[in-house]
Amino acid sequence: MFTLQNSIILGLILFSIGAYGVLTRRNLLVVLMSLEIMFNAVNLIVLAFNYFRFYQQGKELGHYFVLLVIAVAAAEAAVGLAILVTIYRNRRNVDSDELTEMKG
Amino acid sequence: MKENYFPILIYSIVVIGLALSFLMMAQYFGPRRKSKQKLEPYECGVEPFDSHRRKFHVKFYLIATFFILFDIETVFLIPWAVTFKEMSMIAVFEMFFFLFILGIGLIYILKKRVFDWD
Amino acid sequence: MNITTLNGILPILILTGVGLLVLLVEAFIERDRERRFAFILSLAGIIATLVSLFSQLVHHDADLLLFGGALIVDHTGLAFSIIICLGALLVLILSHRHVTRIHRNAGEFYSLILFATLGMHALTISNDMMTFFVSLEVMSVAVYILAGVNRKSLKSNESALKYLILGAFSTAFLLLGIAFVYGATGQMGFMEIKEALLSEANAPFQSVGILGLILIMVGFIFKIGAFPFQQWVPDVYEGAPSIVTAFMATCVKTAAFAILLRGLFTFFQADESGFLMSALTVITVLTMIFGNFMALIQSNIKRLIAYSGIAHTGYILLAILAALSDPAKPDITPILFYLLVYTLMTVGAFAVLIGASRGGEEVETFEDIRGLGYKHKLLGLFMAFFFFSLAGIPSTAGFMGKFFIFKAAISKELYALAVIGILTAVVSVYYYLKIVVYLYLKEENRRYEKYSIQWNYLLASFLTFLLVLFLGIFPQFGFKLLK
Repeated sequence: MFTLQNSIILGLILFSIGAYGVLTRRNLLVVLMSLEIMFNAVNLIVLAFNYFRFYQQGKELGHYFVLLVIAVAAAEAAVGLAILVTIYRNRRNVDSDELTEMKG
Repeated sequence: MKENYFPILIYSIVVIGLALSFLMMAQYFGPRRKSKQKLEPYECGVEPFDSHRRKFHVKFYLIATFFILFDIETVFLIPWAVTFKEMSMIAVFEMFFFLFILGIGLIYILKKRVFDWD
Repeated sequence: MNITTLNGILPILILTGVGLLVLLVEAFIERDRERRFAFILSLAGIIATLVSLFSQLVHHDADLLLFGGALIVDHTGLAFSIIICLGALLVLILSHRHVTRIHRNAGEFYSLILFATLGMHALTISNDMMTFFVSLEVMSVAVYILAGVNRKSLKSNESALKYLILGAFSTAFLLLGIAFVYGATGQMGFMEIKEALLSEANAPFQSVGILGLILIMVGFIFKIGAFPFQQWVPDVYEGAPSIVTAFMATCVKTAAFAILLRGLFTFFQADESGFLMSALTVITVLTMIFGNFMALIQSNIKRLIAYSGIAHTGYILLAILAALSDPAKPDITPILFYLLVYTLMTVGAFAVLIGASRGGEEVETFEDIRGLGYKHKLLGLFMAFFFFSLAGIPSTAGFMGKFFIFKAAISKELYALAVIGILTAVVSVYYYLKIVVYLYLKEENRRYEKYSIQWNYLLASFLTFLLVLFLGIFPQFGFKLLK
């Protein structure tokens, strides 16, 4: 049940859900949330690898990496939200279908 | 390994079962008499004066954004706090440098009056 | 923390310190004085960084590993960083006065440029998956904000959001790749990963590692804007303010190429199936063809530069392929020279475009530059020269850059690639010359009457003009500098 293979499959399923959300959802807030799911799926995979393959050998690089990913994902989310707020101020909605300023 | 999780499985089945059965019982046995007062959002008597889809002031979003940032920085503080006794003085210095940079960010948003209302 | 380490990370320290200082200056000094003060401060910071990079390059005798191999101060990284800092310096000079037209707080803009440059420099010298990822994100997040710096413009907002979502999407794939590579090897350092991938003990996880490398490559192809993942480039370049577009087209691209080159040189031997190399070849060909042919049908100059930027990415990939085919003694000077020249030409072209714009309006379409060459003889001359150089007309630096790349490709027997490159370069002459023709069309545009150009646009375009001219006539000086 709780094995390397299953954890990675779970991580990949989460990653695919996130990717699907980014590509198909129209509400930009949901798109940002899907991006967070993708980042956290990767965290899960790194932690699974770390726990099952390297932790017994005393290596824990994966843990540090996950901390960095969490911090960076937060920074990205904050910037994304800030940009969304500016867009909302300018056009009163956050629908990706309405963002068509550039064509060609 | 698997045995450790067996009680949790039992526990979650019981919890979900109980919750569902309570909901079902209320659905089937409870009497229903609808009236105007009962269908209001707040049964305790407060008159709703606006739609629940109110617009929040944009400041809420700003403060939430800063909360995300400063909240996440504890991700670095906690492992440091657990282990800094085993590390050299450089670790202490480095964490204070990190906090110094964060502090400059805080001063910046304070001077930009992000937290002043109106 | 000894003196060697301190010297090694001096550019990083300078950029961090000055970036923070500029933020504080903006917070504490009132509006009118703040702008000039922040400008001078950030200019001094970038120049100090350039000087320290140069001194490191001059005194460089052996590769310096810092923080247990997380950073490597080597010749290639320093050369790339110098190109990046040069680009950032020119962008800073250009942004003086112009920046207040697009954003209320000049200090924010300058410090974002400094932080982005910091990320780029750290990227060029990173030697470890963690430093690589963090510096990539320092650069990217700063540039996402820069793309949306013009808060009132819907185009700028949209460009920033598009860039952020697609950039984060590609970063997620890159991270998945890093996760797989880590899972296969248990290492984060580039060298350690390579050894682990090549060792026999790791054979069962070999394919996971290769899958990870391929995913990392996918993330990179996005960042440099090569063929299958290039759709974001024109939209983001068009929507962002011109000055930011100049920064993105030159510095961000150079930094991405720097780390791509380091990664490829470290890892491509670990891929025994040769999949990475054949994929890269296909990507190179398609990028050169797609970029040049899409640029043919554009009517917006910023979009045209974006598509032609994709084409230039293709030429640089060709140079990388040529260098990779001789791994024992790789010759990367054509890549460096081309990137240097490309940075100068592109910033120069944008300097003229920005200099010719008035008020909030930016020069964007062909109609906007109609007759510009008569109204502003000097600006028109510079612009024509930069576009001649981008097209690769002989005796310009752009020609020398392309010449060295094709020469390298032919000497490594990549004949088919070289022929495709030369043919597409001929196509590119058409659309670059179209711009020059519009510059000197008779029907004059009223917008340019009684209008004087500010010193900083002239200075930036004159500097780049001199450098491009010089490198075109004496390319060996550029080579000596980068060697």
